[in-house]
Amino acid sequence: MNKNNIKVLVDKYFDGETSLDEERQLKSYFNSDVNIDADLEVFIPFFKEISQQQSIEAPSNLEQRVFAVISKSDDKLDKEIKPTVKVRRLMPMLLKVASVFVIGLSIYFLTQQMNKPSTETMAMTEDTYKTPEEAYAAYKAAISLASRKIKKGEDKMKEKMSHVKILTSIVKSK
Amino acid sequence: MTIDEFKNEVMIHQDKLFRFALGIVKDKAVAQDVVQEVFIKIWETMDSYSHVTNWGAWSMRLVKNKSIDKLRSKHNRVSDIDMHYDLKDKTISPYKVTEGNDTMSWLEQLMENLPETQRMVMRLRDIEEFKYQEIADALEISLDQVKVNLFRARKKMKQLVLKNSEYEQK
Repeated sequence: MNKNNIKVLVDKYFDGETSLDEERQLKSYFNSDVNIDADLEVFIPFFKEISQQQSIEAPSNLEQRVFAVISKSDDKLDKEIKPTVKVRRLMPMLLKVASVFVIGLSIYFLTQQMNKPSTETMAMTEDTYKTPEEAYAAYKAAISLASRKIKKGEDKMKEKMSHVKILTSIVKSK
Repeated sequence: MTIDEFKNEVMIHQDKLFRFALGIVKDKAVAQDVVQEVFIKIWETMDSYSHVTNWGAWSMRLVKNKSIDKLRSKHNRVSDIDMHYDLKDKTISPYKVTEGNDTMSWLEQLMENLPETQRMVMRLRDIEEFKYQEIADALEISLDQVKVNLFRARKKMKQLVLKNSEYEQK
């Protein structure tokens, strides 16, 4: 690359208008052994330092440290290595599903039980007879039966009272 | 994501991430902790990153945030670094840098004269060779902000380089 082009590129760089490729060309130029134009010598340390910074690497044990922590604290790694872990992780899920099922079933039966009418209510609400005539006939029969029973009781009572009157008169006469 | 995919897609960026963290926290051990914590976080919460397509830019964003958190947790705000190194408006020779601070390069010391965002944009572009969009994604700023910050950073760097050169010649 000729020196004029480099000068243009340097100006472009400090105006913030260079592309990544042009910036790489500049770094490469200032890090090369070519005779650099005197006007541009002032920028040699700047571009060399940038390249030196690029060579700094992370400590070699960083990866090791990361995986040491990951393998201890996270079961994602275990999941990949040991498929049996899946079974262990499945159990809490099954227990949750079973609990939800039991609770749901209980609520269903409880609701059913609460909505079911009692025998008394059924007796009150269900009809005994199919037609009003049948009901009236039954009612009549029941009333006449009750009337007969009351009459019979009344007769017995009168009979007993007559005995009491006789006994009272005997006691008074003596 | 399998462990091999994690290695090939995420951990492959470890050098870039380490350099970037180091540029912020200025301490190799802390920078290593930052990158390690970011990798572990990514692995543990992998399911929430299904939308990520560029792991380089995404993990860089996490490293930036974690590095700033580390600085804050040490009650050592980012802007305090400038005070710590006491570099503002001073000329630094690339040949004399070891006399002042052997942990920082001449370039880093020059860059300490830049505001934090300009410094980060310049690092990602010049050292990590990120595209503008990747820088915008990593730093959570717009594309225009990336270009403006890069323009200002390089303009300032040119001034500093020329100023240092004059100082050397005297």
